[in-house]
Amino acid sequence: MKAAFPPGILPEGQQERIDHHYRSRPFSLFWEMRAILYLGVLFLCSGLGILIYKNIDTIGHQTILGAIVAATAACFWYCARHAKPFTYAQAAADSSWAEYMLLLGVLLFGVFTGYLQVKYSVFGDDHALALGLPATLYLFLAYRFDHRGVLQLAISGFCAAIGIVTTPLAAIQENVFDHHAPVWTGLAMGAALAVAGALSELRDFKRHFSFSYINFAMHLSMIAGITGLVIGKGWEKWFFFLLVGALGAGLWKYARWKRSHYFLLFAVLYVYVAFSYGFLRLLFLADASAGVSFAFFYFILSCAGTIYFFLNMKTFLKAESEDAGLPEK
Amino acid sequence: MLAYRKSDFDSLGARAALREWAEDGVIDAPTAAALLEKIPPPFHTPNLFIRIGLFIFGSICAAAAFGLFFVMGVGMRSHQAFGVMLLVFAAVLTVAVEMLIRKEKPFFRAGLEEAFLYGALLCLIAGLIVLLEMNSRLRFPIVLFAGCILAAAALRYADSFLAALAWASAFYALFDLCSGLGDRAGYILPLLVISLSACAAYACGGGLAKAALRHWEHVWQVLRFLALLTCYAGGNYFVIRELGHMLFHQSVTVDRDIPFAPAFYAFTFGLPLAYTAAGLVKKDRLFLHAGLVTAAFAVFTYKYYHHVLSVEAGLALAGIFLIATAWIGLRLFRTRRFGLTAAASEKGAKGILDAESLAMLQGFASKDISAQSSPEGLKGGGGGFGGGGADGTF
Repeated sequence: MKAAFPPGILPEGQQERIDHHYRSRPFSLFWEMRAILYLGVLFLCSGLGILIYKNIDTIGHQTILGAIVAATAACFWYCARHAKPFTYAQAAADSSWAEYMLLLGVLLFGVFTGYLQVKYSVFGDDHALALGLPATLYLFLAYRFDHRGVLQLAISGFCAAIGIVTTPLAAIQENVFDHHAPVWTGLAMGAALAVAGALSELRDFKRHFSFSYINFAMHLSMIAGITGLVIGKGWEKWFFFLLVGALGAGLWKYARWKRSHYFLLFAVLYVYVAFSYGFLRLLFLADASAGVSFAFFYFILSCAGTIYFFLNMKTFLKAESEDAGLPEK
Repeated sequence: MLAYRKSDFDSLGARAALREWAEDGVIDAPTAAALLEKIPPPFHTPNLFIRIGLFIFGSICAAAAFGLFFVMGVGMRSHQAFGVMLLVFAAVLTVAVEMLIRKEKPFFRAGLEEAFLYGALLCLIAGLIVLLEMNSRLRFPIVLFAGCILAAAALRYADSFLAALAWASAFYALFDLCSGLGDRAGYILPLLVISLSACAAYACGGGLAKAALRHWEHVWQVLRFLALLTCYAGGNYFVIRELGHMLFHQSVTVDRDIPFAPAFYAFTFGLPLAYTAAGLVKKDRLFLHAGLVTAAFAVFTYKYYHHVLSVEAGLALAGIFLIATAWIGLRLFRTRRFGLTAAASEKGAKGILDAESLAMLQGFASKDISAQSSPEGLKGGGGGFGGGGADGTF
């Protein structure tokens, strides 16, 4: 980038240093190599997967399971050998190989348990256990090797396991969507994850993990709340409406504290959806014929208000900010 | 031509350069901070997430205003009234965009002015189509005209997304024109596409090198990347064969190949190599990425017509080959060689997104890239150009 500096602004001799820097600095292939590596892992896994699937008659289940176990063990052994000592804080980055090996091992372990369950029904009808057990291992691995990607896999696994336990079979089989059990499960899961996030933050236990927890908690509980608002009847609508509002207020505080624009955006979006739903419903209940024009009016005014809020957010947030954005904490 | 003050763009570039130099250690931090103090941020450019929010709510707001006028009966009277309403709306939105830009601290990549601008262009082009009653099929004159409008807007507002759209509409117009010209056009079209793209790529390179055109740097980069891709597509065996079949109904059977097939095969496999080599030798990330993308397409092309391996064996082998390539590359360039390094380039990542956005996107990498420093302590990185010009996020 050739920036046009007015003459005299740069200190004496600085221009020469900069020119020298541009001439001499190396050209980094870091991202390209990483992308190639990632694609390679992806291709190899899917290619081997299809190969196994197609030749299962000739290879035999035991052989395949053995091979998967061996590969998983090799991955974990590599990670264990290259692991840094455990720390409560964020571990320093090591080679990206160990990271990829951990990811590969975790994925292979998932394949292993899935294989066991589908072929031999080791866990019987208890699909939740088949999901929950690997998730527990993932959770341990995530903390031991300090890997946020694996942590996210663990959280997803737990959510799926608990979702299966609490959701009535009818909701899945008959596609019944007015069931409230998933809504309450989502809210409970969100609350639990929020507590986990708060604990890791306040107890200073892997503090950088709190983002993943709070992120999952936000999306789960907000989507559950809005679903409850839509499918609820009578007083439930009011309850969920207030709940989404309260969650939004909480998120707003959290975003302010963490100085995070990401949480701020989603807090506003979710609350806007819930508020618009409530407002438009009342509007169309009151007068269906004139409702359309009023709805357009509502959208114009509410969006203008939100835009005003976004534009003057700095005064609301009272944060000194650069043009590039707020500093990450 | 440019809606913004050119000096503002220079300040923006100077600030970015200062930050980069401070990161690279060419300039010491206090000096950089003191210099940054002297050059205040020229634009109102919010954080990426606020930009997304502003874009969403700006779009809803404009759409609702349009809907309100339509419902109130202005647009429902006749065809002409609707067209005129679209044009009026385009004018109103353009005025809004200009007002946002003529401020003391102009809106730039702020989401709001982008939403209004895209809305205005949509209304303008739709209004013209409605008024000219060209609603049967998009013929090449109107597409070409729309492309010109988009290109003008891209230049005026330094918007690379619009530039990419203009490029796409120019090619659509070209195809449309040639498909109506009969068989002979089938032979000219590849040559036309290749030569046009090559000229465009060359011209964009000139635009990047020319100091007077520096304010459209991102536009030239995106256009150049697209031109490299379309240049390849113009001579790719798969594209030629399938397009010839589709547009010109050339009957190609297994034993009857397309004319000049060896030449197209050579082009299909030669150009990715040439791009990659040029990228590595000239240290040009644009060429390097174009080379990698087109190489993948070349493999796909070969695989499509020649059954050498089953899909799964091919995948597994390709995976092994890629992992081996990455392994060798990481080993070879662990220390600096030929001016190349495998160490992290911070600018390549940070230039596009700020730290929080990046943390959001790196689902797999658990550690911050910045923690991995190169063995020499030197952090390299050329002009960071990652996305193929999705929305001018730069």
